Amino acid sequence: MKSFSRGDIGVAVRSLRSSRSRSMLTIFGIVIGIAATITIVSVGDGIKNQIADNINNVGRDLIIVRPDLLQPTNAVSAIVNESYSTDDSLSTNDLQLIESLSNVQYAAPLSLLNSPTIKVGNQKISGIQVVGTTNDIVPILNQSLQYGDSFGGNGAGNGAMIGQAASVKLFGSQVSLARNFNVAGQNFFIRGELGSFYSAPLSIDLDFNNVIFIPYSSAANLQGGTAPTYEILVKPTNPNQISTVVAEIESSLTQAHGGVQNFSVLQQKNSLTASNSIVNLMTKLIAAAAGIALFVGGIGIMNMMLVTVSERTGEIGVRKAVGATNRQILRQFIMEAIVLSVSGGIIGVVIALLINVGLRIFTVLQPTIPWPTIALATGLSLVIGIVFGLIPAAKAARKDPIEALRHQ
Amino acid sequence: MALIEISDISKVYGFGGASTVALDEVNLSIEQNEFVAIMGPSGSGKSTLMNIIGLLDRPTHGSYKISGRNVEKLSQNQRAKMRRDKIGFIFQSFSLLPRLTVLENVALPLAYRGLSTTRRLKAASSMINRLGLADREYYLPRHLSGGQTQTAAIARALINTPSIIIADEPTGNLDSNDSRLIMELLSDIHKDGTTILIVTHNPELTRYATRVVYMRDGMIIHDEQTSPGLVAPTARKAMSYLPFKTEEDDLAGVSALMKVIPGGDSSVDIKSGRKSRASKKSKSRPGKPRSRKAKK
Repeated sequence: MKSFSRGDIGVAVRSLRSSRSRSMLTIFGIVIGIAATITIVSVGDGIKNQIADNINNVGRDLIIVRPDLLQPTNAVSAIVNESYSTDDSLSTNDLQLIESLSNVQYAAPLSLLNSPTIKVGNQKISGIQVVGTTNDIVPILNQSLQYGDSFGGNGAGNGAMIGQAASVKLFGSQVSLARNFNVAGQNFFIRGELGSFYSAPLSIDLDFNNVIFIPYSSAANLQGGTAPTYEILVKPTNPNQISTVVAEIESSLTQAHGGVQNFSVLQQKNSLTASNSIVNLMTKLIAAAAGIALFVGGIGIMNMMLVTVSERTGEIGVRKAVGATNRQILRQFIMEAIVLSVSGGIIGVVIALLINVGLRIFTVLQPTIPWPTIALATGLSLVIGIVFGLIPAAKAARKDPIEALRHQ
Repeated sequence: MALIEISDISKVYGFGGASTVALDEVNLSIEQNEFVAIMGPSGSGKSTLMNIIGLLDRPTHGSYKISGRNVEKLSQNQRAKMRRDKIGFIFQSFSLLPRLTVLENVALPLAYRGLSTTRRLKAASSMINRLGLADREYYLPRHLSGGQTQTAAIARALINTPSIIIADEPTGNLDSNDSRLIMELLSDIHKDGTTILIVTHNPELTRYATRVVYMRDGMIIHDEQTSPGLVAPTARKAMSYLPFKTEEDDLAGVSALMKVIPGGDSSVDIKSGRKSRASKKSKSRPGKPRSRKAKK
């Protein structure tokens, strides 16, 4: 029986070859479905890994204090920069309070300027974030200065630190020390240049490569005296004491805010959960769309097989006359459907791998190669062949041999 | 024990007022190694009888035994296996699968017995060799002449060494040379011990048979033994007595022969298998069927 199955595949391949263009068009749906599913899952996995790397680079011990109760469910809107809460519920006092806690090594505020006008000479530059902060930001972000120095004189003045991408945008060069620029009418110069930040696509954090850091007090001046702080980044002295420090910050800030907890204290693992949940959701949605493509592909196969069966009624008659049982006819046509769908699956996997390589080369994405998904997709194409081949094959098997022979 | 034992077999198509009786309580017993020609006009039930004997169809009533075993109640699967192991079919339209080579076509029945590809092709190759088609093994059916195609079909029918060969107008689509070739091939197979049933419109072909069964309106109306090499006596008479000459006959079975005999007129063709003898015979009974038909 084993040898017969092998022969079956040969027979199936041959009859599919005889209607080559029809077969190719039919498997197109499966190819697209499989390629899309694998690509989506691999991109999603890749993004999750990149975000995790991102967080690991900054350090898992980073604590983030945000105004309002910015929950992970809000994280989707957090991707879009404009919806960062600038509610002034965190103040300089809060910062000082956190800095004074015994287990806190560093604390730095982040004050995002609301779409400021950035000019170099008379040229307006857009697409760069300007953030007011303190010198602590450099060690907090596990970063070092590649060139130059941090803000001078107690973290005030008009010296600025710049990320690499921002430097290129502003001055066309990664080295821009001592160059002048203007933010909302006030002049600044580049005092320090930061090393490259690892940046993950779809991360809910700012891309610090694309940021100009200006002293917190200057940011306050630019915004009429107070700098709305959208988050305070905190690094504990001992990385193992994160939960203790989080609890301390929560209790002391709640006390300072008169018993109202209008802020949230997030750990990196929250951030990871948030971004993972977004990526997972998106992956699932797009994978569902790809699944529909697979389903449609299956229907295409069923359609082609129905046509094939009625075209080859005479052949079925002859095969039955020479002794094929209904089961053997059923198997022959299911095998054809399987050969169609599995070859579609294999082509889909190959295309997905090519897309994978392409994405790695031409984009910032680092898609993984999800072997379990590839195995699943191939298995799924097999199942599609069986499921959608069954009805036409059963139709073929049930044909009356005399009627079928008349069709020649 | 007879190889084929048919008792009171009826086949009715349709229901109620619209029903047609294709076979009407037919009794037939065929021994091992007979060469039976079944003759009769179109619609006489020849093909239905062949389909039932070949286990492609089931009788409405009656019993059917092959080698003493009751087969009329077998399941579809069991019938398929019986067809595979006991019966070889030869069709008028050859019925080779167009996409398979001659070799693969001949090997096809073995596939359904579960033989390995190598063994299948080996067996098919030696069968093709035996029938003298060795140099055509890898041809597709469309590249063969009519006679070669039917020879390949016979090879396929023989590959499982069946005890019964059923040939439904095997020469219907062949010219006279190929017809003779095929009939002589069948005759050789018969000499090797195989039972052969052949449906034909052509009385000439009864030369090869050992027995001729005449059918009309779903009944066997005459059954006779024949001497080898001669046209069966009734068949010869039938050319004049039986209303063989109907429009349907022309259309169905005989028209192919008309094409191959130059200047052949339909009343002549019905009685003549081959060109050489055709002229003699038609001269001896000029216009008789036509006059009968005219009376009708």
